[in-house]
Amino acid sequence: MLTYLLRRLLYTIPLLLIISMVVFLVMQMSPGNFCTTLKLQSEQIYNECVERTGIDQAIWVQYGKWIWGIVSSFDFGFSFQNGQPVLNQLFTSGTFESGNPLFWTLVLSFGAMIMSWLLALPLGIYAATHQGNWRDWLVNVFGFIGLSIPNFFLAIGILWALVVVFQVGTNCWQSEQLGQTVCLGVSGLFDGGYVTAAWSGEKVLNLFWHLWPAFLVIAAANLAAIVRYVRSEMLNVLSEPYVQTARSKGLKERVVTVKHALKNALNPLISMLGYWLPSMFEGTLVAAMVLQLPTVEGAYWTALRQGDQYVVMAGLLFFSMILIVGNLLSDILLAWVNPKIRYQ
Amino acid sequence: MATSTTNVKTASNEKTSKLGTRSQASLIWQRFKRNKAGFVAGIILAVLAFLVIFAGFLTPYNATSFHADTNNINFDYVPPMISWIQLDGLQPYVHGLQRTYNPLTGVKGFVENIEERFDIKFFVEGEPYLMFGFIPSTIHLFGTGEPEGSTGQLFLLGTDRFGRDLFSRILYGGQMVLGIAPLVVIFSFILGIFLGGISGFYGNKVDTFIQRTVEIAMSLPRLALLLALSAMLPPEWPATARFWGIVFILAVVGWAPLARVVRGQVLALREEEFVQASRALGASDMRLIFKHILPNTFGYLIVSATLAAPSVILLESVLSYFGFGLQEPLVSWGLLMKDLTENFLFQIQFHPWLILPGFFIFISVFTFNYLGDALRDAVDPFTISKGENS
Repeated sequence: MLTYLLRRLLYTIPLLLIISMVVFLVMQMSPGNFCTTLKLQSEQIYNECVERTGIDQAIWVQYGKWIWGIVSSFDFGFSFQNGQPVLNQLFTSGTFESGNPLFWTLVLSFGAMIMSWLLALPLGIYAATHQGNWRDWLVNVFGFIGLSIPNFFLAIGILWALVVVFQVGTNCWQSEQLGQTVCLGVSGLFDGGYVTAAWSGEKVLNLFWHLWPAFLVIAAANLAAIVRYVRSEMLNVLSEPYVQTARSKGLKERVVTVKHALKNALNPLISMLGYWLPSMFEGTLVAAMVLQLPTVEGAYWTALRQGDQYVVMAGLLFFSMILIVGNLLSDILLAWVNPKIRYQ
Repeated sequence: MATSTTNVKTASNEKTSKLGTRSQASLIWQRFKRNKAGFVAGIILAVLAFLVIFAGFLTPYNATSFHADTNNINFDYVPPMISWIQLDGLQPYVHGLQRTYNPLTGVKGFVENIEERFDIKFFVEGEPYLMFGFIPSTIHLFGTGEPEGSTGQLFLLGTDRFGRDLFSRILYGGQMVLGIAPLVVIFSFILGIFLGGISGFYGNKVDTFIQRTVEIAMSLPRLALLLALSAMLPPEWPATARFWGIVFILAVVGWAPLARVVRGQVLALREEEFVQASRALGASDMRLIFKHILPNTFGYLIVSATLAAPSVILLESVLSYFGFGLQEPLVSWGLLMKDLTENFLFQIQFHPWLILPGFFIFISVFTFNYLGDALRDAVDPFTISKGENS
């Protein structure tokens, strides 16, 4: 097992190298570059920009320098926008309150993951034990709805309901354009006044108030998928003879479901934990774009629009990394829950 | 497999041949019909396809024409008029449009002008369009039949900032969305089937090489990569070139999982007796792959095509919504919602009908998912026994 793990880890190195090449090529194929827009202002500013970013060097020189920087000093290049190191720009820019991207990404992705599992398990079990019933049907339809709703549309829908229907939000201001009060309490991390305020119960509440739409948006699609998996796994297990034996022993239905059936139904699901991980990050990307959250994905999105080469490349590498780690994790979990599987 | 089993049946049992044998396709159809939800989803999808194909005739306006009053001021952001339609006996009519301006709030808008009345006529003369892209016509199913500039307009679902009719744009946008999905699926299938088939059939080094490529392709983050790739398309490209660019990018991102499925199927079928028999008869590799092995995977391929379509629709909408996908003058549902992104809070508060195209995305993805699910059950020959308890 250990050698297998080691081999898998070693294997990711050439994989990441090739991915970095692909990513670099993608960035190089784009027409124009970060400095092109400055050309309109004046030739001199443009030349300064080229000088600063080294954008005119040959592709392999740029790539070689970049890779060498990563290998020798874990330096992923710098942001063209403000000259900051990429890792700083992508992961640790900003303070805690205004948003430390990596921290908030982890909170949102894992928070949404935990939330979706906590909701999906009871729903799936309920649907399986009440199979064929209208409530089972209801769960099923909700599952399909969650699976089918575009998450950016869900985010817009939630914002619309909050802003227009319920008129929530304590962060109100007099709009010059509208001449009336506009309230918003669902974008970003805090309401205006709370960003700089000291931590208090109210501030925490305010934070949660801002985060729940994001959680919902990220969790929705996966929630639906997990419910469907839990349901079908439970149905499979509930029809096994040993469940019948347990029932005929006179055990309570609750005990049969939870102790006998659920434990076995969970095995294949646990191994899928790793696969959900990347999709959580994908959900966070969309949520970050619509709800303007200061996450890694948000930083990636900003960099993408500005053509900030190295930040985009590092972002893509980071997301690839998560995918690879997720797959590895699910393989390990699979062996852990199922002793029949042995990796050589 | 389909033909071989029927042949065996007819040869061994004369009785069945008199009663008529049932092909694999009719068995699948039987099983599919039993699934009510899937059947309904199929019908909804067919209706949607019908609406979209006959968009030119069914819509009162063109997708790209601006509408303005006699002073050449756009009918911008007219609210949905569908609830303003009234009935006089059997004759539906709408009132004229009247501009409003609230000096206190600064919000412009439109209300009904009760003094004017315009009947809704059927098979009415209107803006010229090309049916199916080549038959010129001016007849629309319904409309007010009023000349350009008249206040008697029928904007069923409202208008956008240039006074373009949202209902017409949604149906025309559907052509793009429901067209792009099969295109992308076909392209990624060609790639996936070809590479997956070769990989599974030849095994060894070819297999290892292709599988490593698949692995790399699957380790790339889908959405983030899509955004980066479409940012790469030159902005000066015309809209149609960009359309094909997006199709290509979506296909490139989507082929890998498919190649893996096809490979697994081919790997299993390669050792079947009928393939061995054909090989013994001296059939070439390509004949084995394309004549004997791939046809047997079609059932699964059709199912995965149906299940791949919704994710294409979703990705295209996300790309277009964020301005990285299709561009004007093309219309797609995601692109229609892009109007929201500028000054989002203002738009959503005062022009909420702009989110309507999202419902169409949702409905088409929803029905595709249901249809795919039903097809999967229908194609799987073991669902009869399982059908009762799942």
